[in-house]
Amino acid sequence: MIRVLVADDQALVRAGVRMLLQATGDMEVVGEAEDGAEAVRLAERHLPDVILMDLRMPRVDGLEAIRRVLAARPGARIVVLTTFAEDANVYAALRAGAVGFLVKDDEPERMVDAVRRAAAGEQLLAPSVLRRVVERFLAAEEQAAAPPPAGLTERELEVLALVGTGLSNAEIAEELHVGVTTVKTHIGAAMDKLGLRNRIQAAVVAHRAGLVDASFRPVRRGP
Amino acid sequence: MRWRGVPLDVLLAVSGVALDLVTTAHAGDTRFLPAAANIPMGLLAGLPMGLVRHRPVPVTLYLALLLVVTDQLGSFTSNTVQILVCVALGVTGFRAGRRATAVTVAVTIAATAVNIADPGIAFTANTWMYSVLLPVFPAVLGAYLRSSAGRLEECDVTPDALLAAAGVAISVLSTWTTWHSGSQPVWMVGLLAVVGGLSLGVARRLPGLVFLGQAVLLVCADTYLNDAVNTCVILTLIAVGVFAMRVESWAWTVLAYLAGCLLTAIAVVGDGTEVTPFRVGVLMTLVATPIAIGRYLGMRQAAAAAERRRAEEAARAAVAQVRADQLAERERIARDVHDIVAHHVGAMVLRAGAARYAAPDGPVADALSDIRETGHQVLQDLRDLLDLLREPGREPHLLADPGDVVRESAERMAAAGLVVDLDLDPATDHAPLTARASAARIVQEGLTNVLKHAGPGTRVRVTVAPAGEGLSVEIRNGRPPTAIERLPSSGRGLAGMRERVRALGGTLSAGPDGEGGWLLAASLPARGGA
Repeated sequence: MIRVLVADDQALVRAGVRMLLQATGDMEVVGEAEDGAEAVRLAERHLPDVILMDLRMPRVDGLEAIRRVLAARPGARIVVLTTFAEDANVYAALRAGAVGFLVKDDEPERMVDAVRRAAAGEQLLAPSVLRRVVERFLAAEEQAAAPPPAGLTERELEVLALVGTGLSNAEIAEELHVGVTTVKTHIGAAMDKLGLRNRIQAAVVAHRAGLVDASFRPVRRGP
Repeated sequence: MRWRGVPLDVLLAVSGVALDLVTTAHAGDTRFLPAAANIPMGLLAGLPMGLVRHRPVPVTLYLALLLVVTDQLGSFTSNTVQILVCVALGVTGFRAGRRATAVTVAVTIAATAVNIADPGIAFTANTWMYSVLLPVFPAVLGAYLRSSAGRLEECDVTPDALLAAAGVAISVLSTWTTWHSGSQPVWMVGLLAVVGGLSLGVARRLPGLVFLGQAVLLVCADTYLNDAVNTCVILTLIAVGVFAMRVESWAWTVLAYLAGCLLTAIAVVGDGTEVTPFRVGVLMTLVATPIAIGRYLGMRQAAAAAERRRAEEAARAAVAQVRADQLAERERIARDVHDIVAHHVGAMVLRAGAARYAAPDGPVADALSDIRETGHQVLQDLRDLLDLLREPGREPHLLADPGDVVRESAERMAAAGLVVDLDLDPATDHAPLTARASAARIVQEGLTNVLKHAGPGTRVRVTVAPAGEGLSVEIRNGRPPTAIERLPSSGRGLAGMRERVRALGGTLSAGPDGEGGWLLAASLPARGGA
């Protein structure tokens, strides 16, 4: 059973999410929060697998709630629930450590799928969306290129580069002729070493380190 | 505003009276008038000068009449009046229209002829010329000053050409009969005369150098060719005047004045000349006149430039303010659309989608599907709208009511100094949005142009009225309050407006309205151009 916490000030949204997840049979809503403060409280009490978090909420807004939840529990998987993907706050939330975002008018099937993948620690964003997000990140931060991150193994760097291109775990496994579990292990190790919270941050690091070029192709490095 | 500078009027009146008292101070009884009548005559002649700035034509006509009367009475005041009438003519040329100036000049020529034609002076071609030239010259000078004071830009060579031509005319015409009388070869004297006259052409650019050159010429003439000295004095005084106009420092001006006095004294004082305090005073006053004129012109130019900068600044600020307000307003609307409308529509779509997912079949699921789809579409549209709203380069007409835009820009331009009469027909509200929005934009641009080119204080009438299915827009501004504030037009604003109107299939015309003002008229049809 995947345990989900919904934080949204609109009862309509909470009811919708509850109905949607219950209909899947393998998910349940363990808590509903009306504002950010309540979301933080309920996240501590229920320790949900996934938190669906609206950004625009009274009193404590979603962005602040994400920061607080992650400060208390760095492994929490938070998916942003937003009206428009283009909101600047969505990028701020991803930077703060949310694992992905859902747009409220996404197909219900995709929402269900996204929650399931978030619970499994998978990537949420389609490659095209990831590209946009990474580009926004790079444009917003305007930081100088960094050297390839130290302390990673050759294989981990390779996987990191492929994450930067927007491939899913299964695609990376196919590319490298290894199992999906192996890929997950490498990614998890690399993100731990770099102190990253989500794959978007990992993709940004890969770009900034020059592991991926501007057209999202991995850069072949010397033998 | 019309009566600004009353002290100047008082000064003019006092100067007029004082001039006459000085002129007639030594005059005793005349045939018709006792010496005691000098003071009332001086008042009669001088006091009207106080009115000359505001009523130049009546004052000139009065002085012309007084000239004839005093001449017939044999009063010495006629000399004063002859000078004053020329001054009044200068003011007339500066302030009044062409026709009024022509009339006063004609009357003054007649009066001057009567004054000059005394017993003992034959009516030769020479005296006729004086009676014509004396009135014509100040009138032309006044008219020239009116048109030129603001335009004496560095790049404008017209005044230089005029100065050079005048310089050559004076130096050659008044001296050529005497070129052979000195010890120098004729060609050299002639060359010096021509060069001396021509040098006035660069006096505006190199005032100090030209002044110096004229001074050298004057001293040379005093030594070698005495007949040309008077001409040199005139040229030197003109150079002094130009110098005072171009040089802002008072110290230099005083120096130039003292040098001018010295040079004039060198020219005037001969071996047998008796130096009296009165003559010294006259000489110093004589030299002060070109300095005063030059100083006055220089200050007017500086004031014109400052005024122009202010007008530009005001126009820019007004435009920037309109722009900033529009952007702020758009951002507010965008926030409302986002927070209120999109937020709720998003929730409804999610709710409907979830319900359909829970119960995937049947008519209710179809209905939920439709609701979800429509909601999705609404959100797409809202996103596009928000993009439009937040893009700074977008036209404002998407948002604000065009009528409000028109009223607002009229208010803003009024605050920036225009006198705006807004005639916005309420029936225009029924015109198509595209026509109204274009009309609003044209009014904005048009008023900005008026402010830029005609300057604050200009009266503008804005008319927006229905015409057939579309709208007609008219922006008519009157004559600028002062002729000195015009800016060169970039033509870009007009081109933009024309483009906009053409896209609608309408017409736009812009040009002088024949009464000193400017008329911008646009007709905006209901439908886009076929």
